[in-house]
Amino acid sequence: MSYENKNKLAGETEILSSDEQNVSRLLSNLKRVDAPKDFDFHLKARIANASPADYQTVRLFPVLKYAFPLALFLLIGGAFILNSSFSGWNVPAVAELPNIPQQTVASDRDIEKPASFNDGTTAASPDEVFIADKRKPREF
Amino acid sequence: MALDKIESRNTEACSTVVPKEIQSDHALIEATKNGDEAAFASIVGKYRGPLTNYLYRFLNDYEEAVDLTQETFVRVYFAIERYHTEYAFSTYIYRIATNLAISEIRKRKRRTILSLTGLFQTYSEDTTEFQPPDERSLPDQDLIEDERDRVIAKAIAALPTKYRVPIVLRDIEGKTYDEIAEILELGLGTTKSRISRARGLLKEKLKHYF
Repeated sequence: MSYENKNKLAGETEILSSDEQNVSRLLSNLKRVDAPKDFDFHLKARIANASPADYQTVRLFPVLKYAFPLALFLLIGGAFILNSSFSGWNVPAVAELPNIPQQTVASDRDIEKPASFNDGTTAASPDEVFIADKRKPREF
Repeated sequence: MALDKIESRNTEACSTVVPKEIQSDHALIEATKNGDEAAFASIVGKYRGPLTNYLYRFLNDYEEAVDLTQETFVRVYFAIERYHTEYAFSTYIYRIATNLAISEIRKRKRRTILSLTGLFQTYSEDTTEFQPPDERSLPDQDLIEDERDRVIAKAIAALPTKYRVPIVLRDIEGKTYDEIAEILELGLGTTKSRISRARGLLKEKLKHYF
């Protein structure tokens, strides 16, 4: 089949330089090869021996390409949301002060006297104790 | 440089009627889906020659071309249920064959341990890749004896894959630009550009035969 006929059948109008035409003509005039005579026989044997599972591949990769990152995103996002939700239940709205028993501020007169001076009376001031020691002779 | 305009008449492709060839292919496909083995045998008989020739011109290896042609039909057979008639079966089967051939080219590259020519060349898209010539004899002695065909085949085999595929489909298989663009899933402009580029590369090697 000549080059000109091929183009006519193709229904295309093509403007080529002379060199391009020559190249195209050389290629189109190459002798054609055909399949061997036992092609059909070998093909039937090949189909009979082939496993349909090898050729019926489900394209998982496009699905995995989106499913995996989405699952990861949902997992992390869900964990973050759940963590925020649960941690919010244990934290009061207003921080409460610890329950510390109230104590009055001790004055100089209310200083607890040592055990050696525990004679049932109220604790005396340091000055009174000092003066009392001077007037009262010690008993041995 | 004189420009020669190649004119052609309008064909039935311009009409909205589905070509008989495509109708026939779709009918055979439907029959195959219904379990008609003879219908599939008809498909094989119709496309085994063109596919073998296409893959041979692409790979420059007859045995490999036959093997990949069979593999193409096996894949078509097992995926027949998934084939949709929205596009031509010819486009479908050529696309499968092209993908198999490109995979084979990539396997060959991985098998190449060292490319001596690559050491002295800078990598670029225009660099023609080194392909060891297939010195084995062809089944048809006429082909062997034609030195010009051998030189042309060698020049085609030396083209980068992205230029080799469209030029073989265009100038050897006689596919239209639209068909080639559909097979290769490229734009029409890109397809035309690559074919033009391929012719430019081949011109340098084949100018002795002009």
